[in-house]
Amino acid sequence: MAVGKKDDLTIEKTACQHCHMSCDVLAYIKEGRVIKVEGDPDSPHNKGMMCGKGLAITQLTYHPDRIHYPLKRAGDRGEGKWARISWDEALGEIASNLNRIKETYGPEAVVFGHGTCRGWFPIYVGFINTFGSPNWYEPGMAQCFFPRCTSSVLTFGGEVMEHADHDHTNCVLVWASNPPNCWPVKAMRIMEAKARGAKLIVADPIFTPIASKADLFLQLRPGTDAALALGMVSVIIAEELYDKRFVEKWTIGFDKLRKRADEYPLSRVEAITQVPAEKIQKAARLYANNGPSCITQCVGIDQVIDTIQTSRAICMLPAITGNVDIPGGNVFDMLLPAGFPDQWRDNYERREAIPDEVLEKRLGFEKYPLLCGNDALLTPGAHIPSIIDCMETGKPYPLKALYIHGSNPLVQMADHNRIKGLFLKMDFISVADLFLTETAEIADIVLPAATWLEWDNVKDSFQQSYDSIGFQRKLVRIGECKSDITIFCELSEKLGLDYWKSEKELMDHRVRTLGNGFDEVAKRGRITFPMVYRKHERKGFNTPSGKIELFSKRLGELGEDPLPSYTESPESPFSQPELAKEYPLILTTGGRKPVYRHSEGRRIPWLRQMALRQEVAIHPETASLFEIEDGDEIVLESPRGQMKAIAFISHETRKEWIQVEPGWEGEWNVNRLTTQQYCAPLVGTYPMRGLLCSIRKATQGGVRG
Amino acid sequence: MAKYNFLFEVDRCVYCHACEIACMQENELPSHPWTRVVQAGPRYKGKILALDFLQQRCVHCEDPFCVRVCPVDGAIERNEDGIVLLYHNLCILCQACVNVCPYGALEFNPDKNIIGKCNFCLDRLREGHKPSCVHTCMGRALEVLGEEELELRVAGKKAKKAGLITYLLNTISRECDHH
Repeated sequence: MAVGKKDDLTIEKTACQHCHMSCDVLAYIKEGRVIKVEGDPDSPHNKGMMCGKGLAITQLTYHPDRIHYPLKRAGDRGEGKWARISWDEALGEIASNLNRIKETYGPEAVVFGHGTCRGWFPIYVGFINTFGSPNWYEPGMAQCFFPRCTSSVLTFGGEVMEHADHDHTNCVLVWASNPPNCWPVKAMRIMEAKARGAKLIVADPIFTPIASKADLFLQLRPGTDAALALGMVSVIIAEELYDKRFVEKWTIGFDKLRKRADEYPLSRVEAITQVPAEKIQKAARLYANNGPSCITQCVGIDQVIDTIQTSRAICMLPAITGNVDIPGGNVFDMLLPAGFPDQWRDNYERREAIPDEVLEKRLGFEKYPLLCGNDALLTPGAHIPSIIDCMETGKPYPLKALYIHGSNPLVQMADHNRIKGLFLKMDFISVADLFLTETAEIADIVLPAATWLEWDNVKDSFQQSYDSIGFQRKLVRIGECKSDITIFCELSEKLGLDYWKSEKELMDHRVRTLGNGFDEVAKRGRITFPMVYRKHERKGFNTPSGKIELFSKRLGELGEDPLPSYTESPESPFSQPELAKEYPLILTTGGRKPVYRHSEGRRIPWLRQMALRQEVAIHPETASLFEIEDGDEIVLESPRGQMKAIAFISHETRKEWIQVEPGWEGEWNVNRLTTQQYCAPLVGTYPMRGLLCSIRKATQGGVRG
Repeated sequence: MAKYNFLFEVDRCVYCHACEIACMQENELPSHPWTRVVQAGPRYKGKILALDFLQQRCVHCEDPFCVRVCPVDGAIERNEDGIVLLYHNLCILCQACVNVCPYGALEFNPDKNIIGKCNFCLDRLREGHKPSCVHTCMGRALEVLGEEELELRVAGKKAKKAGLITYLLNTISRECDHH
């Protein structure tokens, strides 16, 4: 299975793009067609492993329902009538609409949206900034990853919480994540660590597969993560389990944190989280005493009402135990020290292209400084609920066009019913995607995008690995489909913008320090940089104080609590007891299946047969209370709307909450129940963990609205 | 002495379905993979909440019922390595084997009009590669081992053997007490 030719087969190296992990892949090509893929057994990254989503790439690439050429709406919006047009016509039409709206209403009237844009985030942002609109969004900016990253940067001066050195650890604390579903390489390494004898603690409202492997499972009420973390901190401080020398030398504000932790005695934390005090104590001791310990966290801690405080509370654990940038702890990545031209730091974003007076028009600019403005510690973008409000009211200015790339907001954005009505009123909508998704169906122009077998890319997303980069390579061409980056380059030309000329020009630029052009560099495969630990010992931490900021002066200046704190969800049985009489169950949207990622994958036969329908886990006692049996079709209702699901009666959840999976289209969409009305301070997150809902059997009436 | 044995370390399976999808890809099956992962639980074992995942597939029995009931000579055979192979070109689709298999490991595949069962990825083994399910396994729960390696791996541990599959149990600590 070496790279090369064998009989009529050619085997080529590439890298997967189905999630951020970017696993190294061998692709088997016969007569110009990729017939099989598998994990590259020589890869130091994924060691031959590949998840089901990645393995199903041939069914995605050669799917009969893919869009193969640009489409133009030929009937009423959403009617499903399309005419095939040329790329020249499609890009010309988009360019003339966007430029017309820009000239008439200003660049801010054009809203750009994207999804996870795995591997081209700053490149797309650079395109939007060159066009000049301050209003671009990516749900993750406030809903996933960026809030917890922001907390890490505030506290440690860099991204350290996302990288866990599983290979050398003695204790893994998995927080609000089930890595087998979402982080395959991390899951593989956690299981290797576990087999080596490392301890595993899992904090999650649901008894997931990874929780079933745990030595200690903390099943907390959805949305109470900050209280649980502060409870653990209080034990570690009270029992003097923290690393005194490290705290003294490398942190500021420890005495203030000690006082704050005193406000979270275990009795209070147990009452908030529903996790027994003795378990929290055990977890704190295990994490602190069984080091080196690392934390692997995910989106669950972002989608709460006080996302910065929640992820900051978790940051305190490595900060006071010294599990920072040491073997087996949480570590800083190596790309920057290695001098690699990283897309995140190499100004592909072109922030300077937006003049200050335009930037200040960004929706959310005043209210959400850590998301939208100059105070943002990561890439700043617009605030989705503020965009939706602006669409509704026309204030402070009209929004006219939507350019959506690789994203399905009508499925993935909260408050589906409301946003669909508002999207339909836009003057012009363009969507680039692989399929006619629920969002693409209401577009005026649809562009056919490419899968990861169809384009070149440098895999330096700092979520994939902290010490290596991989290379995705163009192996096939399907219909008239074009890569995301090619589309930006060609659309820029039509728009009259000075942007990259081609994917090749850009990729050659990205590898310029590594060799002679992308093709030559990429053929060599993954590049690993030697890991250097304890980087702070040479130059301190990249914070204003040069130390880890347990007490964040910066947060105080922004009008927030400088110390981590807990805030109750704005829609819970405790904060809204009256509403809870009508909607007695806690709703969390943390459900994930190993075969789907966000709204992707449900059209792929190999994947779909593993998870046929939207299944909602309901505790047996709750099910009997509502007279629901396993497999029943049920209706879930919130103050926003209703959805359908199949009841899955299981002990994986607790009596008080039910877990629903986002990503299903139509009446199975959980975002018919969610809302954008509550927003977290500073970053504007709308909470999805801990809302209220009710359930009933579908035979008592179907879905309305 | 079997040359090839499957080792399935139950505690390491993370229920990702990659083995099933790899199997369908390798054997060009639209559906009905020749190995399945079955979820057992979550269920209470006393106070402990347990969730396990099991491999359901042909175990390559020493004296397979499927070989005995097959009306066609040579359509199902146990080869010199103990691997039970079903030859689709000889099979008459009578499904006698499907009904008799105690492991539910043979299945009629309506998409391909064949009886499907695990063939140990024999072609891959002959080329020195691991079966596709083993190659891709996320939890590193699946392995293929020779007899001696297998004995070393299971020595002193709780194991259960059926045909060429050895289930290795309780290999990682899990004290997941639940309230």
